[in-house]
Amino acid sequence: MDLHQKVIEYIESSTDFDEALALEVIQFQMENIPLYAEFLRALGRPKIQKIDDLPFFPVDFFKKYGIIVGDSEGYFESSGTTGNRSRVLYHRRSLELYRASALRSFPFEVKEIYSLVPSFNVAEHSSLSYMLRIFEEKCRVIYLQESYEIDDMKGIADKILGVKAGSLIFLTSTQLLRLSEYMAECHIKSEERIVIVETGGYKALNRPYIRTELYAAARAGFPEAEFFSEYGMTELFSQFYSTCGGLYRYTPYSKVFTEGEGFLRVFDFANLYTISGLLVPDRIKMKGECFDVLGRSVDEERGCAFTFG
Amino acid sequence: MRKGDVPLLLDKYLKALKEFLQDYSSGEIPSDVKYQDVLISNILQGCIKCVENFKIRSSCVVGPEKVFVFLPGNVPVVIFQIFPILLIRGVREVFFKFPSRERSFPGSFLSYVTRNLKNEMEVGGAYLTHEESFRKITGYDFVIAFGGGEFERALTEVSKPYRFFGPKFSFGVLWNQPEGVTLEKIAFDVLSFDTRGCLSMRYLFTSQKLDEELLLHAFSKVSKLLPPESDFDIEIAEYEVLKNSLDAVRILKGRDFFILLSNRLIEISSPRTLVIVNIDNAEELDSLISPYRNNIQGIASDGYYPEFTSASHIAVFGNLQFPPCGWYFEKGVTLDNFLEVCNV
Repeated sequence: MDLHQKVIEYIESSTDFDEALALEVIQFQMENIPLYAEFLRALGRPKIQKIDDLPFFPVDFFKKYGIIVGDSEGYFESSGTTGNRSRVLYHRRSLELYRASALRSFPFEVKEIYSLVPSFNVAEHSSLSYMLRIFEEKCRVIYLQESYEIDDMKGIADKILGVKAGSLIFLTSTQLLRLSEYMAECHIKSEERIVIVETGGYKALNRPYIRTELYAAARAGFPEAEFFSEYGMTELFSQFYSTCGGLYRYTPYSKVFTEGEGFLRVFDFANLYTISGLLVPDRIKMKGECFDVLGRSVDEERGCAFTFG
Repeated sequence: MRKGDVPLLLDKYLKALKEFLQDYSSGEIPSDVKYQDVLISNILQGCIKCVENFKIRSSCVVGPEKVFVFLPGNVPVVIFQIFPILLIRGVREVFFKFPSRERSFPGSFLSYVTRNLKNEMEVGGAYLTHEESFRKITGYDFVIAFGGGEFERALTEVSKPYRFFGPKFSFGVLWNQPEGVTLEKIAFDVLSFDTRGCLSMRYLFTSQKLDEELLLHAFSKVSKLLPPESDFDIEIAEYEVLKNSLDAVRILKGRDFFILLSNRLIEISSPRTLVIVNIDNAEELDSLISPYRNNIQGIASDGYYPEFTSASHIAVFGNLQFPPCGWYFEKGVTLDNFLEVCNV
């Protein structure tokens, strides 16, 4: 069985982290991505014999380099200012892994998803929109608008009020906040028992937002809803959901290696054709097989010291 | 102010400085950041010597009466270096804007100064927001500031004469095969203020092939003497290092420091990090450093060094943080002209 097939089957059925397969994946990536081999060599690890020896690869490299095994057929792009976006290349085979992981990771049994995230037909470089397209295989996905900005708040609120119990609303945290504010102002609420999944990422809210604070605001408009969060990023083909009492649960095929509190170190098998062992500058706190995301850490410029770059 | 007043003022200031040092050594000075005690104490001792020196050669050129000082956040010792200049130049009132990172340490120092100089000078200080600071400036005759380019642009819009000290870094040049003790001195220059000071060594250019084990040993030893400041975050530092790893030939990682071996100048600003750049000759050094010629603060060298840069302090290894008395941050700045730049 070739590695691609092995990884697909592993994503679909794994119950434990498979270190031997992970080492095979690392070897495959080192042999096929010269930049990765160079990275490991610079860190004095030209060969990885156990996963604990693996230096995790900073996601910032995706902003500078096109990283993929084989020829790319398209790309996903992260949000952010021009020049500061990650561009993640993909092809048919890498998308098969994306699909396998997205379908297995999605923890909700629902018949309909109402999405405020635009469809992949409109947002053709959004991995989030691509994920929703995959969910169309599982359930009916209704796209409520064609952009991330909510231009017609009343129209959207009306549609949301029509969502019946047992359905799921998928939206960004910013959209959830705006919608909740509008519903509070207009004194309207949905009494249905629905599932609301927001995609985390509080940068657009202009201030650090604590998830519980966001849900408290949203609960006024959706008193009967259950709230969850999806944590994902363009550079990772697997996603995490907050099904662990409000914390994110990791999986064997996308295992988190951070100990205690620190930057996210994840090994994602679905990233077979890019880099699996990634380092993300999001500070997280581990609790068993779950973790909380505390926020992004950046160094600040200080005083008279010359800052490069 | 009469010339005879200056030694008297300096005597009182010296008393404040000595009392402060004594209490700092006993761990009685509050600060928001836990600093490298050995370094701070040594610098304070140097400042005390310099005040003695000022007493001997002080003139009494009168300057502006009211001065506003923006203190930098990367090093806490600037306030000690600025103060005697203000006294000698007859400043009657000074206000120090504290950096957001550290609001207690300079405040403590000012309480010692106020106690000793209460009748001679009005001394104030606090943390203010950017807007509050720029509003307050209007009541002063002169501004002293440290910071980056954007800050200076904001300062040019205020109709006040000012002396601005822009962003700088320091480097070393090693031509001879070093012994362990030299590597320790280099480590001292690098780890001082977590490599964040303008006089901290960021790069070492060398024609020698350095023994990696000896390097790691020297840095590990000195890192015990100069431990990370309390707000050092190794994850942020490491991420910055890893982001630049593809430009390095090799990366050495210690418990709380990083050394990048490279054939070129890697543009990196992470704390407790040295980039060792391999060079063949002086021409190569000149050409590598030339684009940064106006951003150099200090150079430590055991031989040739480029003279065409803005470096105001040329030192032997281990001495970058200890410029001689009479050093006023930048080349060409003297006691007499420190408060006379009129960029209105």
